[in-house]
Amino acid sequence: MSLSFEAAVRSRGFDVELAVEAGETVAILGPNGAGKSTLLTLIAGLLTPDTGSAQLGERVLFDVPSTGRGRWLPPHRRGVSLLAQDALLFPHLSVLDNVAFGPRSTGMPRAAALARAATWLERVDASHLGARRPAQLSGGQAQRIAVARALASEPALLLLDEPLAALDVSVAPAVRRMLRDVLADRTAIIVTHDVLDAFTLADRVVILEAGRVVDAGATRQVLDRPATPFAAGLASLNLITGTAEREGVRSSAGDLIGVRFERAVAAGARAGAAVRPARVSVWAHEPHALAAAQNVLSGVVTDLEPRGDIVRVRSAELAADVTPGAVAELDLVPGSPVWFSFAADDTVAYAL
Amino acid sequence: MSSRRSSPYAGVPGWVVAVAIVGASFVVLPLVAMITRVNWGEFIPLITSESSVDALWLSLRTSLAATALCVVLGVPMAIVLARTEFWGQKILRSLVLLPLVLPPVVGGIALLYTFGRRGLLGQSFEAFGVTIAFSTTAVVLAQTFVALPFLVLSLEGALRTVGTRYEAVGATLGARPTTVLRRITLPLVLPALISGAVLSFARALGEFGATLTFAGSLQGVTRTLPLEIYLQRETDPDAAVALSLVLVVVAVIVVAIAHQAGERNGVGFGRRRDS
Repeated sequence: MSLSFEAAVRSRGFDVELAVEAGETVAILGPNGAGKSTLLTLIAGLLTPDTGSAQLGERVLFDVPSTGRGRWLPPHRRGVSLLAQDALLFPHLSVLDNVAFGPRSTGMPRAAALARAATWLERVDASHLGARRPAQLSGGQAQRIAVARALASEPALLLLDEPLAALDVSVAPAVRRMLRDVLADRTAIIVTHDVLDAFTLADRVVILEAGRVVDAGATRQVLDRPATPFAAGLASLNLITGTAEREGVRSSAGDLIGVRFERAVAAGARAGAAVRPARVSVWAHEPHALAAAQNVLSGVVTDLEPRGDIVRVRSAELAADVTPGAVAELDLVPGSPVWFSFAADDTVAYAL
Repeated sequence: MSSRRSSPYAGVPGWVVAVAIVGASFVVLPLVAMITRVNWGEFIPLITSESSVDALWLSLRTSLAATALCVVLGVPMAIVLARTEFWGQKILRSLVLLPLVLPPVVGGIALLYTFGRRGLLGQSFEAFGVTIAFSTTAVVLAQTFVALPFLVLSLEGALRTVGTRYEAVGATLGARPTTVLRRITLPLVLPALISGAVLSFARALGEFGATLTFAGSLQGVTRTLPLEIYLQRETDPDAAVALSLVLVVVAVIVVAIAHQAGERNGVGFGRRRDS
């Protein structure tokens, strides 16, 4: 079932409009405090908006006009399941009874509810855990069962609030794969910090910042052509914003950046230029005699971040991936003045 | 050298331990003193005399009835206090817990002016031919009045500790509020409910001042064990001491049960991380 949603919560500076097609999975990305969890609690009915309306299929979830009395459906009548970061399995019920809780609560006879619970446990590869108590499960097992429990109530919409964030890195991939299977053709919204979740699980991403939608679109489109520094950071891209000119992009700082235009952008229009840190070189002195199509920008090192066999050198504007040997050779420390160079051909520009 | 069990360094000053020993003696010594005065030869006849058995039986009956009333009234009170927000809630909580600090005799007088013949509600009851004051019902009401805060207090604390996260999950799974209460909230706070009920029972069993003021002291009708002990003390000190010992034993059992339930409280709510 499709969801249409728009709501404002003044005290949290939240004002978001969102639509999810039937069978579509949308990932919500955004920095801490952007309003991602507020969005989910509003849809689930655990929070009432100041104004707004939402409809899931034919069902009106809430309709709160700015004046006068509105309508508001309590959580248990919405057909919306919420899966949180913690599995939150009921500690006093067995795993099977946990999964059967939803069907039982909506009036299904006990035997039928248990049969459906058993089917869902099988779907998440947890049939052998049915008799256990939640305290006897590992984090990965508990989250699998929480997924089964959420789906056993046959929700019209499934909400997932960072479902993999509390899991050990060794078990997260298996749970992610399981989620990918159960989310196929299901209407769902997943809040995540992890760009891998967005690529694996979502058809579309919506980026929230400070309670507003700042970017939305197909996952690859949004993350390869980021419009905001946050999206660029998620995708590990350098983003330079400015205005398009005939020869390139004039950055906000006034530098003319040579770029490869993906599509023609009208001169004077706002444009972004993205370049991978791996394609950026670092110099201790201003480089000369470079090919003409090289951009050269100066900066001051703010941070050196070891990442496996490379080191990410950051300045306020740019990041570059270099080898540890190069860091030693250039004698880089935070505060070092440096020059960055990158080819116009590696710099993709697009309209914002 | 004496062998010592290994335990983490606590750093408790010696003088604190000394004062603690004095304090513990202050509680234990009077009990020991009382036990030394028990007339063991006459013990069984003393506690099985007609008036003693009447008092003991009445005490148990009324205390159990009061405990049931505490659960029926106290569980909704605790839920409303812990789960809702409304204007004047803090004041209401203070008022509800007032019997904890109020002298019981004051409670008895207050009850008398509510349910007595000329009381606020008593007049209406009287019109239907129902007299509450100085009846066994009055004993139960007096005991409920003083014991209710114990149940409300312990249950409200447990409800706040458990939090609303499980309840929210239950609601999003399609459970109505009543289903959530029955299948999630109450099972989660069951240990606190049991220990709160046991404490209420103990408080009801020991009730004296409010009972005497509001219910009087009629053998077999309103004369509970504490009242019987107080009266016997004048005429038959041996009987008073023997009955006191019975109450001490009941109190010890009650504390043990409450402690057991308290130990279970909180266990099983934690979720083990990946192992």
